[in-house]
Amino acid sequence: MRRANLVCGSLLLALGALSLVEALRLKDDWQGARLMPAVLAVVFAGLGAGHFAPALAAAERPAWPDVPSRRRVGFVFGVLVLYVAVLPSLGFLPATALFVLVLLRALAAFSWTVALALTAAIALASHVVFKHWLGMPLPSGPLGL
Amino acid sequence: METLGFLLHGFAQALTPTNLMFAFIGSVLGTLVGVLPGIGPTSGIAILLPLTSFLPPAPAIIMLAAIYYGAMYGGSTTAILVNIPGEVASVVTTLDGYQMARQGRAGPALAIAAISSFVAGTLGLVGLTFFAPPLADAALRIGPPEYFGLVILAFSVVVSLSGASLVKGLSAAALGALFALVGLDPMSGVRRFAFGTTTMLGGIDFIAVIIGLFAITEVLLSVEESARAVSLAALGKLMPRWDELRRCVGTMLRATGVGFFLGLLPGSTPGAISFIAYDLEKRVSKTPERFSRGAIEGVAAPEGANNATTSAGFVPLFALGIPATPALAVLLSGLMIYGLQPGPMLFEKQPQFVWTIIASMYVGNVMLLVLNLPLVGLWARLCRVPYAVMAPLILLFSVLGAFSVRNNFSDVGMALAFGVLGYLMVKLGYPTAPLVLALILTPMLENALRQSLSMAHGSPLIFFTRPIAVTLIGAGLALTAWSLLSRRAPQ
Repeated sequence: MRRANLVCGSLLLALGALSLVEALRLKDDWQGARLMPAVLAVVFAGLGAGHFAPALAAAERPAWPDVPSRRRVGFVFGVLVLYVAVLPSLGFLPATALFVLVLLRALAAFSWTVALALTAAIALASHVVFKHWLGMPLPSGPLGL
Repeated sequence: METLGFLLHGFAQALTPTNLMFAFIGSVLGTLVGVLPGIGPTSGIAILLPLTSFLPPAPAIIMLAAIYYGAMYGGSTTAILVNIPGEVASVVTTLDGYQMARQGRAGPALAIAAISSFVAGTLGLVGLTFFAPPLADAALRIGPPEYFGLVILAFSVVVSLSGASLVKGLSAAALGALFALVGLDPMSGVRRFAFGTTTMLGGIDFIAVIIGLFAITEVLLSVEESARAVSLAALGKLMPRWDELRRCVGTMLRATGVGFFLGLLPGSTPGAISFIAYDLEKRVSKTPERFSRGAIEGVAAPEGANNATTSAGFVPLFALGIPATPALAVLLSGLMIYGLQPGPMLFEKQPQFVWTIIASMYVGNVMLLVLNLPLVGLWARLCRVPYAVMAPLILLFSVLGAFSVRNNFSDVGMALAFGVLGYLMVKLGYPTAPLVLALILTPMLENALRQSLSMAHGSPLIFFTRPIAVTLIGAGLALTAWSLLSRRAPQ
């Protein structure tokens, strides 16, 4: 049996248990707020069990990327998480400029001049359109940008 | 004949320079709203509603209506080019549209989306023109048991969206249903799956989910392959071939029928209906294996259906004062600002106003086609922009789109989490479309089921005593059985 299916099947069984616990916890009748969690508990249990069936066990192996690709994916996602984390304190324009510059330099062999020009264009355009034109309350940071 | 007379009079008003100008502005803004992820027609109309307050009623409503149907046109552009649905109704368009773009056929995909939107939108308007009052009256007789039947019918689509493994497709749908239950129960007000936190009380927003599952996942997958551009293939012809256009005629008519008639029912969203139209097209196709691999009918069907639904939504709005979608609810508030109360009396008391709006929608549809077709080449060239430039842009728009939902970062965090979930699902062979469909349908299913049971004092027999409900449930079960048998046939 493929390990991935075993893990996913177990996760679905866990979700089934969670749904059952939630259905039992709720203070409402069984034709009210409890109904759907209870139905889902049964559905998850059935689907979780289905993952242990031989037909699914013989399914294709997951196509996990090689180590360099995995690092690239991890790096891009890490930069994205960091961007979202610093956005409120740094402000939209500086954080966006840094985010775009780092990704442009990391994903392609752009020269500093090209990367800086593209960064300025993207960051300024998004600042003007979303913050000023559409009036989105994006964080300003200490520089007021 | 009386209707034609009213319509001609409406055209005389709609074609005045002022009304033409506001239809044009609305069409352009609507296209932009549709293209930008996260800013859907509802928020687009809500943002621009105060700006129309200085206008007389007709130009203001012409502009707001044009924003609504313009957004339906524009939503397909990013769905096809970069796998980001601009609005919910374009989720299905990504399935074949993005595959076509990857094969260097972004031009024909964009063109058929515009043509299908125009044909279905215009035919939907013909329906609106001639059948509004009687159809709206019929739609009013539909109650919770019939809605339950309709949702069961829509859920039957999950089987054909499941891809290689039915268990995995159903698991994805179950996950979507679970996410739909998070937050306050709308009927009893109790907290479900909120785990004591306040951030989960508002539920999981749909926009954050589709941004995560589609946009962020796609970037992660492309980065893994170190993609150089969405398509490096030569752009080739920008318009569909004649044989493709011929093949799509039936598709557009079927999509119009599905979109218009289901769109008459208040609460049936373009997002759910485009799934049904896509599924129907796959079922009637002699080569269903082409779907999800770049079939042009897979773009024409959902785009046609969501535009026909848009036109149909105006039937219950004008004739009964019932908004079929959240965007129409905002539009309804726009009408009420001007002291116009939609309902059966609107056609009698304000015929000039109603027919001017309807006529302007015909004009707006032509404007959108004229606006969109020449831009196909320009948009298609976006596919050749290096991915190193596209990736930061897509991620930036994703963050902005998720933030714009409720102006907070918890939705952005949710989008990031769904990005990881989507990536893992693709890697493990789980389709994401059933998750999205279940997320749309589960609240409708739960409300209809609970209201029906409440009506019948807890007896499920109510579903078997109402002819329309029985027919819809039967059709849903029959389609599910058909899909299951079709899956077995090749083996």
